[in-house]
Amino acid sequence: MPGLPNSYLARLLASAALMPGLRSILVLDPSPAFLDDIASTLEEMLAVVTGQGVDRVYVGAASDEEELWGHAVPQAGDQGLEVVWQPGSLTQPVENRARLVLIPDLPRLSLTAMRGAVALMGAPAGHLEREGRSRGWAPELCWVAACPSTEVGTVPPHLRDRFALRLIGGTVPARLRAQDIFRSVNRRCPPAIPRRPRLPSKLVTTLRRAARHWPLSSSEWQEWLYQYLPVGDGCRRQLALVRLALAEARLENAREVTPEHVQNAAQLLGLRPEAGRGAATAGPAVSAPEPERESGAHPARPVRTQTPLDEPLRSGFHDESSSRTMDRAYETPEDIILPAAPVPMDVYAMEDAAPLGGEPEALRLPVGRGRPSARARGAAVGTEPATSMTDLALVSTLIRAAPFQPSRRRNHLASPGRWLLTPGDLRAHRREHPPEQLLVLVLDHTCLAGSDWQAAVRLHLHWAYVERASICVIGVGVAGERDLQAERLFVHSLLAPQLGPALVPRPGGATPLAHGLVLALKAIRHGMQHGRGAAREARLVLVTDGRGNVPLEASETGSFSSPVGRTGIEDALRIAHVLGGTKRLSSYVLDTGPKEYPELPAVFSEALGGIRLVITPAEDSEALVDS
Amino acid sequence: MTRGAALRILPYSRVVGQPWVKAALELAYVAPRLGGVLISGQRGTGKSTAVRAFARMLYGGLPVTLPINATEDRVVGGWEVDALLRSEPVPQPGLIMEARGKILYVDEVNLLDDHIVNIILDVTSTGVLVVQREGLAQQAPVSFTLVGTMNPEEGFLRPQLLDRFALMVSVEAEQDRAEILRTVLRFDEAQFHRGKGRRDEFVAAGRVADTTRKKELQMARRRFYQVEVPKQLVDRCVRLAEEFQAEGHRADYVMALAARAYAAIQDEPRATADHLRAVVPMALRHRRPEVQQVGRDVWTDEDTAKMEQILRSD
Repeated sequence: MPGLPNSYLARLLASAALMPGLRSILVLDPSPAFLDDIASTLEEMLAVVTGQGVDRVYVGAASDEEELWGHAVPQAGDQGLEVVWQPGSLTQPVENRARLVLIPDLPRLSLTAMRGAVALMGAPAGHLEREGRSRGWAPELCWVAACPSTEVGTVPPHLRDRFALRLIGGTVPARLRAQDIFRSVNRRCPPAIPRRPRLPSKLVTTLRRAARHWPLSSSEWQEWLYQYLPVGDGCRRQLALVRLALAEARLENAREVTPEHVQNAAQLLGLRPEAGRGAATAGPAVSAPEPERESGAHPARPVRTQTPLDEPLRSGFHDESSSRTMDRAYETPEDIILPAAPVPMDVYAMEDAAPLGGEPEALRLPVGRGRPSARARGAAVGTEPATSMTDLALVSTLIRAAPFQPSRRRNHLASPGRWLLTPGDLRAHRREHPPEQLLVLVLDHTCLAGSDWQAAVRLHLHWAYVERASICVIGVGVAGERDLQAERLFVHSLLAPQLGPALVPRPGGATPLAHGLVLALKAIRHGMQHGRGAAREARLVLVTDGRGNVPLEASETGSFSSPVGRTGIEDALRIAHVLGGTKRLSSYVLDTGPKEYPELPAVFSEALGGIRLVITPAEDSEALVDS
Repeated sequence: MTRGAALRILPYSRVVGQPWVKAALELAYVAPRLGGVLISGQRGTGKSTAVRAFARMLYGGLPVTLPINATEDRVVGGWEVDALLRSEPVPQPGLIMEARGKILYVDEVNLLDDHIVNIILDVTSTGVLVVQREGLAQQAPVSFTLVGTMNPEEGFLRPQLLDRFALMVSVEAEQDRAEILRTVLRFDEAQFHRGKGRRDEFVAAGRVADTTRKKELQMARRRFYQVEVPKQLVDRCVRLAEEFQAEGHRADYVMALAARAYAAIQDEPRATADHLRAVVPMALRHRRPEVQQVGRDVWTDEDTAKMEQILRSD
């Protein structure tokens, strides 16, 4: 049998099973086997606590709306054509059955699924309004998601924050895994191997008792809370710690919640009281030691190495008033099968320190990601004759077939009420075909004089015309009342009449280049993620001399205190670096050849990871040098 | 909506803090012509909780909710598919019709599909729901209070949609964390007892307080049109909108309406500068020209000082 009983891990899972507010777990760096063991154990615990059956669903990178929320499926029935609603992963078609949602790779979760998770995780109510179906229910969902620790920063905070618990994943020791496989292949079992019970009977008893028990709660223990989490942290983290402390008290069958329960709960999360939020556990993360066992033999009583966290944990558990402790519940031959896990680290600190790679407004309506399809997935704007059985418009199909039913039934021995359809009746949704390319032109009006920038920009406008790209023009340093801010204009195509005036130079007195690049960043993110048909790639063209003299803060507040020094340029470069990391974005810097600080456009080009083209003076329009 | 889901909602009177969220929702109820309330705030600040609790207090259940999975037929209306298969053409009203006279709640409104947003914009600007799809040809006047919650980190709203919200509240994390934690834990316990079939005093007392508040708001709504709005106050509304360069043409109207509603809630016979002072930030913060540029609502101490100067002027 793989793994070892690990009381820290089992207590965390038991707490999640007991407290609905804790049923969302983010697991960092788990192996697939570890993740599966976590999920299986949690399912069994949930079944014990809730008295309900538990179903497992997987949600991943290809999960789309139909999979998640359900869809109508036509099929032949006894009474003719029937439309059967196929429930989705996130809707719960059966009352009194909980559901465990397993996300094997959170950073790569489809945006549709991320939005669904945001809507349902921790929510008191779920709503379904799709294709004629209207339903509301009280979600009974438990979420377990795996995430590489190096990528936790890429998960939108709005989603990440909803996970109540975090734990560091572990691996099943290879030697024990091999033992388990050896035993399985040699076992004389029928093909459908029944799942052997994982939870020891003592633990089941503990859970059932805890499910009926609610301890008293005084204000004293709450004072301890703030030693582990500073007041500035989000309320959800404090709530998670508090609920975990409550779960500890319930598991111990304690009369009331005590500071020791808070301490134990903090240790389960790897938090220490020093400096408000604990630093990572001293020393490297270690796995619990493997027991000395031989193949085929019952596992020996596990021997745990003393770790820095063991003693405080034990002191909270060896409550004299309680005859059963979680640790004792595991000290039996039929120990719970859980893989070893590293001792807790301060996962919150790790998460907060993770480099941010996520994109702003990342949860805006999806699309370019998810299931690849050659078919456009824009909004439905009508119907058309169907050429396949996908994306059928059912109601339109029935309406089209309705006038012919009487004559068809006369000529066909059909049961009353049966619908008789022909292929010609089938209608499919007709969807928008949105532009797949986006051009973002950032035009610094203060540096255009004397350069033939129009010729350089014309090349890119031609590209936008050929590619039917949508266009965003951002004017930097435009004369006007709000010259500390850049201006932004969106048009659907090159032929839009507003485009011409936006390209007429109107130099102002300031150059808010940083703000212009922020607007560009937002436009690119928005254009490549928003709507049912997002752009697949974008092109950024920056016409500038690099001398942005307005700090970003000044653009946002509308005022600044001089001197600003290089703050404006540094702000702009910082945004340029972020743009440089954007996927499917190609960048061009059109260098107007400033006399002062001539190196700046090249610096911006490097930050953007783009190509720099030097625009020579207007009288020498032939000379456009590629650098 | 299942009863189970409605019972998981904290009583409105138990919602900790959030004075401006509550004020905005109550103003929109007393003066339905205001149209909408937008609540913006960081994650975990109880935005959705407050809205659901408010709806449960007023209407006995969860608000009509426009979820992110909604398709057009469920928003504007269509046919009941099962009935259609039985050759019975039975129209199925959409969420907009279901929300008539009540709240249409959009959680995470800034994540809504553009296509659905366009439908909402059409209906709220004309006050008429026109359904021309799948053989349906209907139109009907509709009026509802659009309530949206959002986390500004995930992007702001298009200016056209922003304008449909009469009032906007920007929620900061509550200072009284201890009270929030106590309340949440107490409600967890109440849910535990409810699951065992036991009555819980925390919830029961909350529901009693909600009933009292509901009656107060209903009376305020009845006396709304008896509240006098002096011309001088209206002039101040116009001047505030001009001085703050409010986008659109509704800012001054919204301020006057909201001030009147506030006076009605406080059982005052006349709307005064004090009432106006309370509602101005909610009416203007999302109508500033800077909003679309910086991607968030704007209201600073300088704005408050400027407002005071205008309110005190002759």
